[in-house]
Amino acid sequence: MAEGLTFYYIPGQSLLHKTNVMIKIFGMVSLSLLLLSVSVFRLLLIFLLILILHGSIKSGGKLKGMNPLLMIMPLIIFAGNFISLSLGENSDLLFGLITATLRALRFISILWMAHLFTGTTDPLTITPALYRIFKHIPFLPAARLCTQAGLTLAFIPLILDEMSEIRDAMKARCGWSRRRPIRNLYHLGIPLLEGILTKAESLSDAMESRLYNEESTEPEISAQSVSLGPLITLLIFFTLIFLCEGLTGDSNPILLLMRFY
Amino acid sequence: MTKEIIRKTVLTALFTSLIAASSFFTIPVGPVPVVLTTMFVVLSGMLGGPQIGLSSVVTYLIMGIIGLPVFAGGTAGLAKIMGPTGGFLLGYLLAAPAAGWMYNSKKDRSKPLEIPLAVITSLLAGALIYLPGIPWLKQSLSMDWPTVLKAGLYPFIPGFVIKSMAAAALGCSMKNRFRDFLSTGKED
Repeated sequence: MAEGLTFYYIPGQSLLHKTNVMIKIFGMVSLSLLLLSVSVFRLLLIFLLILILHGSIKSGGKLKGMNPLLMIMPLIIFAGNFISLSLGENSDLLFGLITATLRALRFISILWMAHLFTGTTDPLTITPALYRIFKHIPFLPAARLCTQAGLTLAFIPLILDEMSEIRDAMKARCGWSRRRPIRNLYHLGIPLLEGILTKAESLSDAMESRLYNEESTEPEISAQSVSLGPLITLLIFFTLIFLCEGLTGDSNPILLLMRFY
Repeated sequence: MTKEIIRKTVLTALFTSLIAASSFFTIPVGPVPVVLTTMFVVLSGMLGGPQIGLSSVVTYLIMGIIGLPVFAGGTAGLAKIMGPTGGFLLGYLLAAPAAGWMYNSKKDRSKPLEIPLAVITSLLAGALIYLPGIPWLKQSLSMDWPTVLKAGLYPFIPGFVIKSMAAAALGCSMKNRFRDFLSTGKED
């Protein structure tokens, strides 16, 4: 039911599938940092990189099946920014248009990156990768945090499916009234929480019976995972951006005009 | 790992996934759709207590920062936290433990007090989300106060009240069920 949403891993043999999860996490965090301040130049490069990565996945077509609401969101962001920046007092139409477009494009790139990440990363590999990153941080209960993250990844598709099923059942019984939102939320929430809590009980019983503990042996990183090539590519990509922007950066009036935070 | 810790871990993961999943699920009640994330943030504190509420939100934010699409609209990353709506996300860190602290501070309270307390808790805890959210929005978009209130507060008040009422009703109904789940672990 909720397969059109993100969080669904699609197995494959592409470079992105084989890339080490820690490198992918590093890439996601770094690209996200790059998107904090965006120029047309920077966005174009990031879009090109995402496009190449998407193209490298053989099952790329399947990744396109997203929730229609997510596709409308960039339009909403564009319209909201355009109205607030172009139509108010002391506003500039061209500046509003450019900034609104850049903000909508930034949203699309963040969404696309997240979609690629979850679509090509086995949820089972995320937890050990997180543990390897967090165990070096003092005072952080890395093992527990990673267990929680792993369980969360397992729960999310279940909850999305359950939410859709309950809502469809309510609609089929004419119980979904647009005039009574509190009643809708209550009648959606009760079976959802009951159902999920039952699953949580079964899961904790299973963990207890198998003597689950946080100090279990660290899972090995898959021998097939690739890390050096993608890491070098990422570093070259970042160097290219900083080098080009350093050379042209603030001295270039076009780039300066089209940069926002 | 004791039974209690396992149950707390599972419950934290459950609330984290509810918060994350709800960011995809909207209720159209008017021109502004209601996103259920804030309702589940408050519920995580009310039903799990301050500690579980806080851990759920921390796990949710960490998952978003590393790139999993858990923020509203399926987005992720530091750009979202540092962006205009980042203050609202940080407000979750206040709302969840505050809801837990307010709702669970007195366990043997009388029945008639139950519903008003749940309503006040969900309203106050929900309002805490806006406390860092609005100034952050003002700062990041360089807006003046009237504009920022028009953009980030007034349109969301009806949805906020609806979600708070629903959270209070759900909190009252499901409180014992969640307490049983946690107390089963404490018996051993």
